[in-house]
Order: sequence, then C-alpha cells, then structure tokens
Amino acid sequence: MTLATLSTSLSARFRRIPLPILAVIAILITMVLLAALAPWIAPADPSRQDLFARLKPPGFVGRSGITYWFGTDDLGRDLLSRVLYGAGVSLGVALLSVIVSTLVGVSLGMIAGWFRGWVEVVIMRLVDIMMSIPAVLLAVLTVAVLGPGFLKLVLVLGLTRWPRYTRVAYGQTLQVANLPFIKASELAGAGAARILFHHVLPNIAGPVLVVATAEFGLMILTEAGLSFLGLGIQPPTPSWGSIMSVGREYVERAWWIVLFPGLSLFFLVFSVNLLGDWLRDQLDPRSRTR
Amino acid sequence: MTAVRTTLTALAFALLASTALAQSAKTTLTIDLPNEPATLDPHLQWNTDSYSVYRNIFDNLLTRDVSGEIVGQIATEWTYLDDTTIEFKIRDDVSFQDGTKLTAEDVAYSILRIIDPALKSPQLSQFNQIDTAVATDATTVKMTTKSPYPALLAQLVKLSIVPKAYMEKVGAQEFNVKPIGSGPYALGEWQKGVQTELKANDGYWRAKPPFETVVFRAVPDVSTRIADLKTGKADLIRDLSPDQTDSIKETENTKVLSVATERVGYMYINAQAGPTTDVRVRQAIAYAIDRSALIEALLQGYGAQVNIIGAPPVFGYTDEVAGYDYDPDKARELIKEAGAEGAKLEFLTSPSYSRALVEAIQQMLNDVGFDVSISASDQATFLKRRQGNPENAGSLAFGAWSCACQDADGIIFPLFRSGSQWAKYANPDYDALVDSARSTLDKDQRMADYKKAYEILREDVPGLGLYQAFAVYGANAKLNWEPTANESMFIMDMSWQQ
Repeated sequence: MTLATLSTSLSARFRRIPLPILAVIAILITMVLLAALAPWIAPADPSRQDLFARLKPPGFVGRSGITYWFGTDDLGRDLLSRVLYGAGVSLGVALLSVIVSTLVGVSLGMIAGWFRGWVEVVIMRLVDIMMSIPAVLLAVLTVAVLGPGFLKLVLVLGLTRWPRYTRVAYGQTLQVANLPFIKASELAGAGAARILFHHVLPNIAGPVLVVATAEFGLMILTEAGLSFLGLGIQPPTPSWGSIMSVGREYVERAWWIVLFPGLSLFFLVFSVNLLGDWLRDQLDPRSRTR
Repeated sequence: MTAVRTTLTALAFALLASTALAQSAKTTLTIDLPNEPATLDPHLQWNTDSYSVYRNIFDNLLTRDVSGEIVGQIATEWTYLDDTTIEFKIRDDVSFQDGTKLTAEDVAYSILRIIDPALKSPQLSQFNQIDTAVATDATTVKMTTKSPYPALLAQLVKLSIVPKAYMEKVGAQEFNVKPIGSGPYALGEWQKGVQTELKANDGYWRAKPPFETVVFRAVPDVSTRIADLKTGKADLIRDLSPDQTDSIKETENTKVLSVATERVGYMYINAQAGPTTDVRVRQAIAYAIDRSALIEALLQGYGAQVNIIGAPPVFGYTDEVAGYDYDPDKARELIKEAGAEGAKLEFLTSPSYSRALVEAIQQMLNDVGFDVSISASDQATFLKRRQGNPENAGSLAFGAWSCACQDADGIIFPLFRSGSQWAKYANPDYDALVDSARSTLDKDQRMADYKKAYEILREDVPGLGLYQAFAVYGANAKLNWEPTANESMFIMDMSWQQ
C-alpha cells in the first residue's frame, strides 16, 4: 500500500462528512485565515499603546476615531488586533510543536517496532520514563532553564510530547511488520529505511493523525498555560495565554480582556477536539466494518 | 562635632495611651501580606513582608516619629563623644517577653551580632560601618564606627534588640522559629506558608497593645487579598496596584490608605557595555520617557514626579537639579548624532516589577527609534545579571529602590559608586563626592556633596529617577492608621474605631 492508495481509501471513507464536522472545519479554516491575514485585517498595530485609553470597554471610540471592537487592555492596546495576532502565535506554536513531536515520536516508534531487540527496550523504556513525568512540569522546568522564546517554546513542547506518538507508532509497526506484503518486500531485498518509509508509514498514518489532532488541542492549551505563567511568548508579542494572564489582574474591572482570547481559545480547542474525535471514529480499525 | 539629642518620648507615650483607651472590643486584627515572612529573626532578612511581622515582636534602638524625625525607643538619649564614638543611654524599665530585663548588654550584643560576618546577614552592608559596641554599664552602650558615618542613626532605626541570654541558649536556628523580643507582640504560632499569629504582650512598657491577637496571612494573589478585605476576612491588606484602588474605594466599609514613601522608581542604564556606553544614547533614553504619563495613567496618581533618584523623605534629596523633559524629537536627534538608530537594547526584568510599566517604557523607547527587547527571568537570575559584570547586565532595567534609611548614602552610593555590584558606571569625580558625603557628619557639607553628585548623574545618566513611589494599602473603614514613608507596619500605631 502506498500513499496514493491510502489517500483514495481515506477519501472514500470521508465521502459523507456530517454537518457539524463541516461547521467545525469551517471554523478552523476561518481561524487559520484570520491568523494568517492578521497583518492586513487587524485594525491597529497590536503593540501600539495609548496610556490614556487604558481598560476601555468593547465598542469604545478612541481619540483618533478608531473603534476598539474588543476594547483595550491595560496599556491601551487594541484587544481585537492582539487577539488576531495572538491567533497566529497560538496556532503556530501548536502546529510546529506537533510536527516536531510527530517526527521524533513516529521515527522512534517505527525503529523500535521494526528492529526490536535492545533498541526496542531502550526506546520503549525511555518512553515509559517520559510518560511518568508530568509534561507541563517538564515544560515549565525546561523553559525556566533555557529561557523563553518562540522557537524554544516549540522545541520544549515538541520534545516533551513525543512519547505518546512513539507508543502508537510502535504498536502499529508491530502489527504491520507481520503482514505478508512487508515480508515480501523484505525478501525482495528492500532496505529497512525503504520499507519503513514506503510501506509501514502509510499504514500507521491514520492512528498517528488521530493522536496528532488530540495533541494539537493540548499544545494550544499548554502554550496558553505557559504564556499565562510568563514562561511562553514574551511581551509585547501577543499570545492568547499572555493576554489572559494580564487580564486576570483586571477581571473585576475589565472582563473583556480575558473573555475574547478565552472564547477564541475555547472555540479553537473545541473544534480541533471534535474533528479529532470524528477522525478517530473514521480510522479506528474496530469501526472499519461500518 | 558633638550633638546631644533628647527625646520627647513621654509625650508620644501619652498620645499612644489615649488612643489605646479608645479601643473597642475588636480583639483580632487580620492582615493579608503577599508573602509569609522569610525569617522572624530580625537580624536576617530585611524585606517588607518579613519586617512587617517581626518589627512588632521587637523594639528598636531608635525609631522615627510621625513626622519622620529620628527619636529614641530603647535608647533615651545619645551623645557623640567624637566623630566616630557615640554613647547611648538605654531604658532600664524594659523586659523581654520571657520576663528577663533588657540591659545594655543585650543592645551591645545585638549590634555585634548583626555586624558579625559569620551571621551572613543580608543587612550587613547597612551596618558594616560600625566597628564595635560595648556595654560600659547597665544602661550605657558605647559604639564606634570605622570612620565618621552620618547615616548611622538612620540605619540604627532598623536595629532590633534581641535577648543575649536566650539567643545564646537556643541558638540562631531555634531563635528564628521561637523568637523572643521586648516588643508589643509575642509570637503565638507560626504556621509556615499559611499565617503568623502574634499575641499581645500585656506588660508592654509603652502602652497596652491595641489588639489581643494579630494574624498575618500569606495571600500571594492580589484579587484574593481584595476579596478578603471586602468580605471582612482581612482588616488590612498590603501591596495593591493603583488599578485596584477604585473597587476598594467604591465598596462600603473599606478604604484606601496611601503614603508617599522614600522608595523611588528608577531606570538603570548600563554605561559600561552595549549601545548605552554612549552618553548621548543614555540622554536620549531620558528624553524619550514620558514620566508624567507613567504617573498619571499607569500609577493613577499614586506616585510623584522626581528629577533625581531620590525622594523628599530622603536626606540629600534636592529639587534644584533639573530633570529631563519629555522630548521625543530631542531624543531622536541625539540618537541620530550618536548613530544609534535601531540600537538593540535589552531590558531586564522579573515578575517582581510591574509588567505594564516595563512594557510602557519599552514602547516609549521604540517610538524614538530604539529596538528594545524585554528579557524576563526569575528574580534570582535577574539579580545575578543586574549585579554581575557589565557585559551581561543588559542595557536597561526598572527598579524601585528603598534603603529604608532615608539617606542618599543608601541609594546612590550602592547604585552608582564604582566598585559597587549595582554600578555599571564609573566616574572619579562622582566617587569622590559620595565618598566625602558618607564620611563627614557635617550636614551642610553632605547636602552640598549630594547636590553636586546628583548634577553629575543628571549629565551622565547612568540611571534616571522616574517617580516617588506610594505605598498603597486597603483597610477596613474602622481601622485608624497612618502609613509611614518607611513602609513600616507597627500595630502600636493602629487602633479600631467603634
């Protein structure tokens, strides 16, 4: 089975997409578009301050005639623009860290499942160790040592979350490795790299995708959490977590600062999780008979 | 030079006694502090949350009255025998909470203990000008300083008297957990991380303490402290940001107490490394910061503008040194002259400093053409870099400085005297002035030295005074208390209105 056949089988399975999932996909596409187009559609520079327009409510019209649709934060910055720019940061960190952990996790999982022996023991015990350490705690410690920053955050999140992928990839590889066509290509003289990449990977991609969507939502939340603690994205760059972190101080006086990034975060994670659940149902071997 | 100072303590006692009589049935006062005390041993940590608690357990050799004048507490009078020798007369009617009498021996012991390098007290630098102290009889202590030291009395305001016999019996570790002092309150129970309960010392020599029990609680989250105050779980809360004062003012039964302190908000500018080694760049930074906007908008008026790194309650303060007016065009001009357009400046900070203030200053500097990046780290890392070698000390940092001694010697000497760990600046003329001002007892001479020193700082801008900070408290409307410029929290100064 190659990537081409995988994609035809997937498209056959997904021919009937239920309406809620279509809606969720629409929300996600809109969010990605808004985040990508933020520099062009944001009404103001997200770090432009006006100390005399601090903590103004949504709909406030500023001195320059600009309307603050989401209100302003504690330094008089336009909250709508900050939420829009923050979307890019949140999505970017989550996407990149999922890619990093997928690459690391899946490679290690396939290697462990294919070569077995001591390689398997070393990798899988390492996975057990990593899984027993709370990931957020590990991330907090690593950031505290390395210092904050966008790329560091991506690496920290990516490199603390790979074991989950390794477990899935390992189990799937074990199953796939015994299938006749794999044995056939081995006998035909294909090398390990070729077999893993061309034959095993396409067969385990489905379950990995399911893990990745679940992790994606979690990464957005973790980034928000770390930024909330001041360990994530540094000011004045906005991220939803850091905006909410500031807003917490003012929740009594200026509820809008936490509300808008909070709602955005909720919709994004909710959509990703719904999509992930649906994907899992579609790809679960046990539901294949449907 | 010899000066004789006698105190008007009797009058003060009479006043205190009269407020004590007005007491109602309020028996327990609850105070929310952001943190629990780091130590209860008064010779160890000196930070607001620690001394707010332990200064009620101990008496001090000297204290400050309502107007900020230094008056005696355990000392009744003092005489300079010569420029480096001073003799204190000690009260003979004071007892520690375990019943033993406080004598000159205890006073001498307390001084020797805090200047002993083996104790490794963080307060050592405040007291290390003292050479020695001896009790010459039961009520007399003779103290000598290494050189004439004008800030001595101001520093001694912070010296708590500990009982020699008890300390020697139990040792420092045990003393920190079960301290005994001669103050108005004795330690009841210290629940680490939760609260510290103090019980009134009914035999206290000055007057009857106003509340039977005082509970200091550690409540790190400011919203929780405010909620505690509003719901009556706390009677007094410390460390409010100006933005939170409105909601306390609007609530019935609560009020905001604030006082201009000796603390000064300032910018440190690295004069020994990076783009800021050029004095024009440092001056441009000074012109680019709109201090009045910071005070009016961010501090909501809970701050007063200063032109120097110093505030009116501080000896050496002058309003005769001109400040830098907010002038972004002038700043851009200077930056152009220095060829520093787009210069990358690293702004060090930690969670201890106002994030909003740091970000507002960052924006003001970026507006005139700098490229300022904020490096936030934990306080320990921040201090390590700020106090380390200039190359790694960033370009800028915000600080809020107080020596709790109300003397310029405790501010601009440690901040800018070359050789000090805080200084990233060296100017021999400046060093000579601050050295001279710390080794003469002549007040006029000192004032003149500090004025010249502040003028040099204005030209060289190794730092920039931003504002005189206000301490802001939230209190129950029935609490009578006037907070003081040195941010002390003496329960004896409080009372409850019926």
